[in-house]
Amino acid sequence: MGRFASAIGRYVFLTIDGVEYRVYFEEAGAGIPILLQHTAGADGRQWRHLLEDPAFQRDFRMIAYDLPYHGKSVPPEGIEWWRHEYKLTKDFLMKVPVTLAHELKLDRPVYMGSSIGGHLATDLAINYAEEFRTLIGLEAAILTPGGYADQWNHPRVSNQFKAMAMYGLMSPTSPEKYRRETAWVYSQGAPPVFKGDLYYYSIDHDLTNCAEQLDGTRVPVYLLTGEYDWASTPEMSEELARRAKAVKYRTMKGLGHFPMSEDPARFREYIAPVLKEIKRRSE
Amino acid sequence: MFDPDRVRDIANSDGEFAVAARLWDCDIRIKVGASPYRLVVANGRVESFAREAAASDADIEIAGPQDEWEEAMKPVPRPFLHDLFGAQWREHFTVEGDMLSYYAYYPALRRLFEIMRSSAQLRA
Repeated sequence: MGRFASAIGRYVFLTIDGVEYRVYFEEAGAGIPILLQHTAGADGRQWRHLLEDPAFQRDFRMIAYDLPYHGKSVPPEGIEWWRHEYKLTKDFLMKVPVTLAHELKLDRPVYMGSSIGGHLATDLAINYAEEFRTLIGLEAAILTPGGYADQWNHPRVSNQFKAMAMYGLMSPTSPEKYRRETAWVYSQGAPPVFKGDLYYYSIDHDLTNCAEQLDGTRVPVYLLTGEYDWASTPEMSEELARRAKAVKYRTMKGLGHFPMSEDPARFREYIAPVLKEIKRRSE
Repeated sequence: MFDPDRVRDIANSDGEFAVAARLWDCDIRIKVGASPYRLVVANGRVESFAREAAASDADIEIAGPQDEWEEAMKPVPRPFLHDLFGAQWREHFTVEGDMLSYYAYYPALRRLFEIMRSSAQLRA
């Protein structure tokens, strides 16, 4: 017999706004369900280290999914998607984990995401609090303008630009092999997807006038941000936590924009206490 | 601070730079505070890198305050000066000129930034 990783992958069909999507996810562990959302232009492989953690496997059913158009979740068959510019909206993005949780019959899962996934944690907390047990936003902020720009999908600029730009969002102290792997995943995204995802990241996600609606007494919310993240800085996340109600914030020293994939061991030091609290509250 | 001769030699024997800079011709002005340097890349190799005697047109200009360059050249700089984009977004670096060329060859420029940092360590 060969040596196998713990994660097992399969597909589930999600119908969102009348369109059916064949969505890929990988899972490992048993217990409290936790949905894991990747960053813009990437896919669920960013969570591979967490999925392999034996201690987390004992208490959590960890589910890392690829958004439609990302990774192994190919575009839907029911629409002529190629006739339109790809653009990720808040409304659609919020419906993905909510619909996935329903289809997998999960009992109020935990949700954790980074970057667009971090922003999404806050949008879900405001709009779908009753669906979730806890929301964890990594690299989240009130708004992150300036990202939705043509250079991210230009015919004269290759995908390697995205990969190396993302490389610089990581901490210089993170292991190079994992920074390179994180960048490699970026180099594999379909050309229009990263820019389209940044529509949500930089335009459609905007809590300027409603950050006070983020209420940790409705559903527990944790925010954690990497010290070296220049896209969504610790200062920006702290400001969000300050304006919100009962939201816990922590800066992750020595980490950047991709904590779970750039330095899994260091990220573990920050996320293990959060998961422990969630487990205690669920008992 | 970085050592231009060493940067040229390291870059021209660096596998990652060779891959990222393939087919690239570019004149780049690098301004450290008020001090301009000229870096010429021809067919993916650093042809020259030296203090600029007289100002002339450049395809791309990367500029930053002296103190931020000094911080950026440390082995582990403070957050945001560890990266060219971070230095632009959150500090006071500027990039002007042929931006499409900058984006297309950003992987090479990013590697060059690292090589400049390593040359600074060798000099120290």
